[in-house]
Amino acid sequence: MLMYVAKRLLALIPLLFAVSVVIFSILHLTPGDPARAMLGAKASAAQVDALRERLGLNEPLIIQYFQWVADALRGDLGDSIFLRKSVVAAISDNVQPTMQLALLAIIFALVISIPFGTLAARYRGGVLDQTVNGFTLIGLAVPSFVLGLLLILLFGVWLRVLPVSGYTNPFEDFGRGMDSLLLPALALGATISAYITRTTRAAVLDVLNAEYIDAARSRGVGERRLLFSHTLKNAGLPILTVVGLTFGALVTGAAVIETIFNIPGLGSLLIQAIPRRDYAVIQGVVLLVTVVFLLVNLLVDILYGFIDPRVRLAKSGGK
Amino acid sequence: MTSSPLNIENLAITIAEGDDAVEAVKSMSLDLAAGEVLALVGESGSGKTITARAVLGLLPARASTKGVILINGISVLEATPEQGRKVRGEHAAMIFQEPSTALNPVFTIGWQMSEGLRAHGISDVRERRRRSIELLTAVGIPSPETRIDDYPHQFSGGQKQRIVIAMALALRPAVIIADEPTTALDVTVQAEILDLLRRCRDELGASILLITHNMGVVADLADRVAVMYQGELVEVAPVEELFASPREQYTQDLLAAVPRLGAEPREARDEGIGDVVYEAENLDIVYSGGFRQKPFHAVHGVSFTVRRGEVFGLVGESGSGKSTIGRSIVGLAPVSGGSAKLLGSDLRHARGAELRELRRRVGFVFQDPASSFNSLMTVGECIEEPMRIHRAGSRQVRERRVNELLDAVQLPRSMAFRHPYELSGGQRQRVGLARALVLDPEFLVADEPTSALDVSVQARVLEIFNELQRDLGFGCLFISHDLAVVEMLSDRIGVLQSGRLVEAGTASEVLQYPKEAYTRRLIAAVPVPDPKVQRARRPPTTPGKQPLVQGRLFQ
Repeated sequence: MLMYVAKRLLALIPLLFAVSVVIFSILHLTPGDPARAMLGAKASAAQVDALRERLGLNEPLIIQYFQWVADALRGDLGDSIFLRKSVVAAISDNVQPTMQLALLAIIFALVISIPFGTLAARYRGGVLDQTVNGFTLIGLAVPSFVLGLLLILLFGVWLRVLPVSGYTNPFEDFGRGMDSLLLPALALGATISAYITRTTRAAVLDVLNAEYIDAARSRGVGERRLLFSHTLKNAGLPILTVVGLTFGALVTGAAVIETIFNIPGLGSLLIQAIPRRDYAVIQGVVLLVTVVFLLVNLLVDILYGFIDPRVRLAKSGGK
Repeated sequence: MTSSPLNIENLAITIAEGDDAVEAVKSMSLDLAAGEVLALVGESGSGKTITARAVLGLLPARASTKGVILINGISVLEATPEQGRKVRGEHAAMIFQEPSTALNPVFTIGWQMSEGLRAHGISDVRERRRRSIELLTAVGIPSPETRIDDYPHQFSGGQKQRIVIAMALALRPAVIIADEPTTALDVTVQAEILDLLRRCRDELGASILLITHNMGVVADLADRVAVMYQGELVEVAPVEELFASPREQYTQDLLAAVPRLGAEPREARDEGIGDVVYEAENLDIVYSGGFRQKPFHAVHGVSFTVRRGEVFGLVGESGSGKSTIGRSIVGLAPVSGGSAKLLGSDLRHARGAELRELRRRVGFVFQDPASSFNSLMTVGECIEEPMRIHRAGSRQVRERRVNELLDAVQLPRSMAFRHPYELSGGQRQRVGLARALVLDPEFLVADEPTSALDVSVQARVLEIFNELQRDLGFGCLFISHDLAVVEMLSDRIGVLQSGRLVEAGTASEVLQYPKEAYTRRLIAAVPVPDPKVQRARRPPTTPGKQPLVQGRLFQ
């Protein structure tokens, strides 16, 4: 198992290299002079030159790249000229709400989708299956920001049970914090849960048709145990894959949701940085999000190994 | 209530398909006596498997039943789900055809065995484990104390089937249903599993309903035989009587179609045999095995030749490398060492135009006719595809050629406009043969072309193949695990074991006077489709074997 994890970790290195090249080029793919673009048309030539010097733009490209990677490895992602603080500081000020939001959304999504997906597969074609299917269609079709606005209208404006916007850290005030995160997490989780429900249903259906389920049934194993103990572990593989992949959708979704609910997270930071052409912040946030995405999918790979012994104990051979 | 453990009376099963309903089983009555092995034989679609599933209450929801099934006096078709669940495992259990799909890949075998015991009220975990270990010992799994925590993929096919049998035996049910229990196994492993099943009957007194299409297996194991045809029982008779004097025409045809070793070997001949079309010399084939995986050495230093007009039969058990050699000829497996000369060109170094030209002159028939056609293409398009790929002939020429070939494989010309899935297995494999012959190849590779077919269908396909080979005079590499089939078709035979050619010679040399112990073992393991002969040549149960009943198990 340790070997397997080590192998997966090693496989990350070339990926990270590719990612770093892409993110590094964000700055250099801008048309014209990035320093000019950052400072705007009104800046003087001296100001632009000074910024070019500060950003190291006068060095050869390859040197700039290695400089950037070396800095990034040391934890220095440059400074934001607009925020007047380092990118690392800006990110660490904003990372907590986003992480809480993402985690809550995924938990919320899993809690609805796994049981409903499983039951929909078990009672395929029945009323429950059709209802679940209908809801997943709605979930896929309605963008999360529309759902977010509807939720604000319902719970915030009409029922007045939850705040319409704003953010309180649940680690400081748990009740108010959860209140502030509940609606955005619901809005964000709904779309993802539609994906996961559909995958769960398909995966469970697949496994239920497998002969080993019939074989277990032929030995007298009861239906409920067949469904929840024998089937779900096998179905876990495709479900996990989708969970890992939706993590990307989660982060982009968070950017929109945070803006609607006025939550000071990474999404908001990014949304502010883009029109300002605050390249250092954009690079920093994209880098962080990419690395987190890779790590989540690494975790998925490792969990794969836990679920499926053939992955973990892979020997040579096999056809 | 009767004393026999399984009692089927006027069973009828209808399966709904859309608005239609198919009568899978029409009014069938059958009794299984205590300690008896009753073979249920018939072609695919005859209703034998669905009958077996009905006995265990495992029919799909679309099926509706009439009649009565009694297991130990319990009416299965009228049972509540909970009663049905209790019957399964406790009174009746099932052994499946494909042991690798009958075991859940993500749980240890110990867990899976224990689930069956748990379902029948054995709540103590240690007790379940102890019993599971005893069961594994009984069916002959070495060091069961540690292997119980292994996963299915860590066992061989034969071991997996032993484990499935152990699970079926767990609560010592009166009735065991074995659905093609040896079809997926090699012949030497098959002999071991048949021996184990026999001991289940002799030592545990279990009654076995054996579903199979293999008459050799029937002759080896069954006491009585029930023959099914299109959902009806056509004949039930004691095994010796059935083989000696089958009453019904259908049974006679079925028995006549069974290929028998030594029955009709292809006569030796020299005429029509021409130059060498394929020559392997010290052929090595290594699969490189992907990123950071060990390469797999599939074929070691194999040498043989095939001449024009000659059929070279390649036999061996699964994993012996026989298919790999066949695939290497058409470029689906790499030639890694030694040399392989096809029609005068070296396969190892042939590239580009030379390779394309070679492929034009070689045909390939795949094993499974169901999966080797693109189901979006019509039969005609499938057959003419090689011509289109090699830009041979105008549309009219291709059309004419398709018709010629449909005639040659004795299918109506109108078939050209049908789709492969509308055809039966035998018809599809004839189309496969037509496709392989469309470019008039000088050499044909046939990889287990009939092993997915019923015996009666197989006989017809082999006959057509034989005729065409004589008429067209192509050289052929015929790959099969079935010695009787190979004997019928081949001029010469090579025997492969673990990637090495252990013996080669004319068909009669190899099969009648085998020199190698391995070849002899292979021949001895093939059950003869004649109960008297088979009983005489069956090796006595090896002394020193663990008895099935032992310890506190089954008490």
